[in-house]
Amino acid sequence: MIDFFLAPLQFEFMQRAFLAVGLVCVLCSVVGCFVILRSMAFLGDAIAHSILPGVAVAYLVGGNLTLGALIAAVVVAAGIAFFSRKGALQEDTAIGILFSSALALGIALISTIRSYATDLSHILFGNLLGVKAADLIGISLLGVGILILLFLAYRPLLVITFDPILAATLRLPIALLRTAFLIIIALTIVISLQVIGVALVTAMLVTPAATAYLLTRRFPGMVALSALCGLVSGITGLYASYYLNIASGASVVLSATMIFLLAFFFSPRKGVFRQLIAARRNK
Amino acid sequence: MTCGEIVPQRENAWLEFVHVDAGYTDDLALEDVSFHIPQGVRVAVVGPNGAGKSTLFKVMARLMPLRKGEILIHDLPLGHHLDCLAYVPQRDEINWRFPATVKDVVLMGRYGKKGWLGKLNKNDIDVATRSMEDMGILPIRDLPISDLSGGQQQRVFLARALAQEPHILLMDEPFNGVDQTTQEKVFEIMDHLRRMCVTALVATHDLTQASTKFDLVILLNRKLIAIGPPSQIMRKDIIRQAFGSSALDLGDLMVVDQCCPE
Repeated sequence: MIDFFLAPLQFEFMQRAFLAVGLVCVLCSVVGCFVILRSMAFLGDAIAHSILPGVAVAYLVGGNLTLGALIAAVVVAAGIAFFSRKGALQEDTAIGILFSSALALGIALISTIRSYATDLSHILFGNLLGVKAADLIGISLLGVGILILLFLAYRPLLVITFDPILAATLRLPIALLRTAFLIIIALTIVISLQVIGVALVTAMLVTPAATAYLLTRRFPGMVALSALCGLVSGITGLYASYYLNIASGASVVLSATMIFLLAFFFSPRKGVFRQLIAARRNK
Repeated sequence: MTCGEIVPQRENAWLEFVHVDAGYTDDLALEDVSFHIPQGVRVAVVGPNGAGKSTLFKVMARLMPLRKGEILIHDLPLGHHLDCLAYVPQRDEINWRFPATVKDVVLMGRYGKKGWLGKLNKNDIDVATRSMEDMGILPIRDLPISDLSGGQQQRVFLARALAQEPHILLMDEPFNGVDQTTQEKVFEIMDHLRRMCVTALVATHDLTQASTKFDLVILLNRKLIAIGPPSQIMRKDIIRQAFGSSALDLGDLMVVDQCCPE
């Protein structure tokens, strides 16, 4: 039994993978709490896809992939604000147009590279087993940086998320905080690139947070539980990936989905079964 | 203690509007509104749907830009005083599914005095507790806000506004769809506020309430129609100016039809 858990850890690349998946899943889950409460799931997805051309350009010119991704994310976020300003288009329409265009541009750029298929699949679905020591340091530094940023801006972010009107009367810098939060999402996605990939990162931003939402009644508790759900999904997913020989990113996401479904059906307060029982009792 | 003892020189014009225009488009929601309100009075803001009652509050809370004119509080233009204004929005403007308890929400009222990182201390907790007690929601302080009734939600927001210890309290339609207890609590709170020299502005379309429970009435229909004590404002000719064809004259009785906004 112990062997079952220890066997994968004899490989150094697996040790690195476990550390990376743990860090990234916790980070995504914490940021995700703000994302789902601000109804920004779609926007998160859009940013994730829109960083593809940035990564591609950075790759082509041999530059820093993270920097490329960040620039692309900021450009697209600004683009969404531009196209939807003064109600010219609904924001979700603007997001839809921009993120699919950015995705197409990214694929177009990457298709000029010879090793196109592998590179693309690594960006889209992650390459957890290929995490190097240097990557791990990068992930840790950025991850801790984001968590500190969130901690510092916790109170204003909470107020903006819950009650924008109170935020305005308290004279919080709303535009600045919104931009800062978009950058936090962008950074989180960039860090998650190698671990889960562009295509699946939205799942880690949304699913653990949604699970925690079903099970808690206060925000701090939701953040803590979301982080725990993310961590458990990451580790379970990686074991499943090792033993069942499936793609690691997909396996992590599916683990998170399983936990979510359990909460959805069996949550003591908001679960489907609880509601069914209550409905029957009331008859 | 009277209000004058706190700021003796400025007994009048605690709150002053000077030729204020406001609105998102050129089709102004408020046009050339000027008035001044002494401190510590209870003011009903009355007018038909779309008269600019919410706009009046929103420009004061700086939720909407001021297009022209000036708003002075304590003789200073908006933005020079951080904590002196609390705004109780209409209930449908809040995300009630947010995971927070009653106490969490009321404590948010203290954030303005604490900045981004300042720890809430015993005084903050005491102020919040007292506010919850005043609004009769202390027993439900640990309930999630998603489980509350409409009246309870309204009282949570009133308690939060009290916890802000404001000089001016703005309430947008606090009587809409709430129970009797909550209505009574609102009036109790207004008496209490008056003793504390807090000015309360309440948007309402209940003319009876406006004429019986308030010191001043502002009658609004995009422009200022009239301002004064209820006895001067609640006259047929003035009401008709504000409400137009939705005011129905039945001899001694004036009926204002508010169900069908034109």
